[in-house]
Amino acid sequence: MKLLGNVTENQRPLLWLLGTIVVLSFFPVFIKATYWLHISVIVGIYIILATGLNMLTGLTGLLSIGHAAFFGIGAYASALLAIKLNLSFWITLPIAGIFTGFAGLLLSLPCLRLKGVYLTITTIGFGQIIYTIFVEWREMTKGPMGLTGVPSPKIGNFVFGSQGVYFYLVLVFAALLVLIAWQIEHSVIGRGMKSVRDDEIAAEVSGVDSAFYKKFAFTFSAVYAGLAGSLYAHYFRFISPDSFGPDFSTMVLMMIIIGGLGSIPGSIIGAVIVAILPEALRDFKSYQMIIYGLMLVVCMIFLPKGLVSVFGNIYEKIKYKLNGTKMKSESTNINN
Amino acid sequence: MEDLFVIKDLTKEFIGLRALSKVSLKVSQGEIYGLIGPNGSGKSTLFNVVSGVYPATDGQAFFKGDNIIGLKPFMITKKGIVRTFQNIKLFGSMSVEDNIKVGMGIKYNLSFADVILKTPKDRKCEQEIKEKTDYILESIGLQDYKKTISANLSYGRQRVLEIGRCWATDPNLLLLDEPGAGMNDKEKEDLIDLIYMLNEKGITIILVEHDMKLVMRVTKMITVLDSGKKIAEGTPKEISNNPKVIEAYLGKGAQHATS
Repeated sequence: MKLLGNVTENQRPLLWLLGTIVVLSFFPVFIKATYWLHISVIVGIYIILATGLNMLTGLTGLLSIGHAAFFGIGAYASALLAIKLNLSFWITLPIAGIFTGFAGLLLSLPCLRLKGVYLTITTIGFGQIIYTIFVEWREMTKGPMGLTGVPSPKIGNFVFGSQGVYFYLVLVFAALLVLIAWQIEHSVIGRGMKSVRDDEIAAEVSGVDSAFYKKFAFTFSAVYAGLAGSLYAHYFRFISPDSFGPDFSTMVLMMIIIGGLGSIPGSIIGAVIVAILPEALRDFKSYQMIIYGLMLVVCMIFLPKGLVSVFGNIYEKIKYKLNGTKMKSESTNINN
Repeated sequence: MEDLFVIKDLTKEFIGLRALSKVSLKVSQGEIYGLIGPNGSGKSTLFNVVSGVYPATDGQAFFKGDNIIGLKPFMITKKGIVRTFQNIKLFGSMSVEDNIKVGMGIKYNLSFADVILKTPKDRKCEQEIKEKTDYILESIGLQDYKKTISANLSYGRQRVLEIGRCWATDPNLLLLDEPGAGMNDKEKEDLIDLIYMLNEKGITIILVEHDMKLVMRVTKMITVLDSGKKIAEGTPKEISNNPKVIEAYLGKGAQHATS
């Protein structure tokens, strides 16, 4: 903490961001295996997805099990724009984000009047509808065959083709988007979102426009999913409806539950675990889903606040011990 | 004195039940007004309707001359009416400090860009919010619980925090729904001090309360409701001698017993 002593509280998140980017940029230098670089790209994309969903489900308390739909909308929008209109990645990415944001805003409108389970069921329905569109609108999406030939991002002649290079692209986006989410969480807007989650009526009588915050949360998390989808499409260069089905919605939800609902560090931890797990469980392929399910149940029972609470507790204990000894030394000073 | 808050023929019907029928009352600026009545007489319903939580069936409520019936709760709060709840409603997972800060958020219009970039405007607002929050916490005596999660506070302190959160919205009119319920004598004394302090700061207060001693002590004017109808209005002294009121509370024949 001494190191950051001269830095104001407002600049600290920015330093964290730069620090993380710098530290993680050495990753490809040491880890040459494309396999692990590939996994890290997936981790980055999952982090964006999970952070977005956590703003909606964890922070605003709107449980969505249709998030893969937004991810898919972003991916298809970006891929189609690139293939059919020959637009560059730097244009398709923001358009995919904005377009998905609109989809999120649209879904939020019927959801304003719904609470709890009913809202969740609506999001499941939305996920199913979008999934069906991906499969059935063959002229556009080529159905289950999927879209091939999505171009890699380029700057001039430089192509973000290999895993090692794409890693940097995803790293910058993930770090930036996590920072934005963090700033929002610790602001007037973040407090408004949390108040709607805790008690909507109390939030309203405290002057919080709950409808606005719900719309905002849906749009915001949809934009994140859309950007993640775009990054995904231009990385794999092939997309098919299977990646955006209901199974994947559950996976995204699992990330934030395992990591920690309502916690941005939790989203990151959850995304890392869910991305690495299939690789770790490669030998038990057929039992994979069973193990996922068990993990979810175990987390719900023993770690309702997710893995991040374990780290949080350790941190608190260290802080307590440090403060304890500090207080002792202070009191001896007074005695002297 | 000028009438700050005027309710005219307010009616609220639930299916098969008339919870309020043509209730009218006037509250002047700076007053501490009492609203009493037996259980189920419509006191909380009245609060729910004028704070926008329930829609009204009929009637009007004028605040500073504007009809507020039909507005959403957050708009009514922005106009300057704020309330507490009979069964305390706090933001349970948030710290005491953040509960107050949510109420404070109403005064600040920050854009998305301000928040993300932490512009000077945002920083100035956060600083102001922090200072005012500290002031409120100190005034209501919760400064030692700043970082405590509000659900972990004792019952009496939760009630005080709820009042503090209302105060943070900088209201003109504060509706207190049974603030003394579940408090011990010491806490009630502190509550009375708090009510007087808020009143001195220019906040008009309407108080729903079952503790007659408290109501009689604090308020200057009282309205009595029974089965959704207004049965009496007057000073505490007039009310305590009103035969209708005694009947509503104790039943017929009680008058002889009390006199």
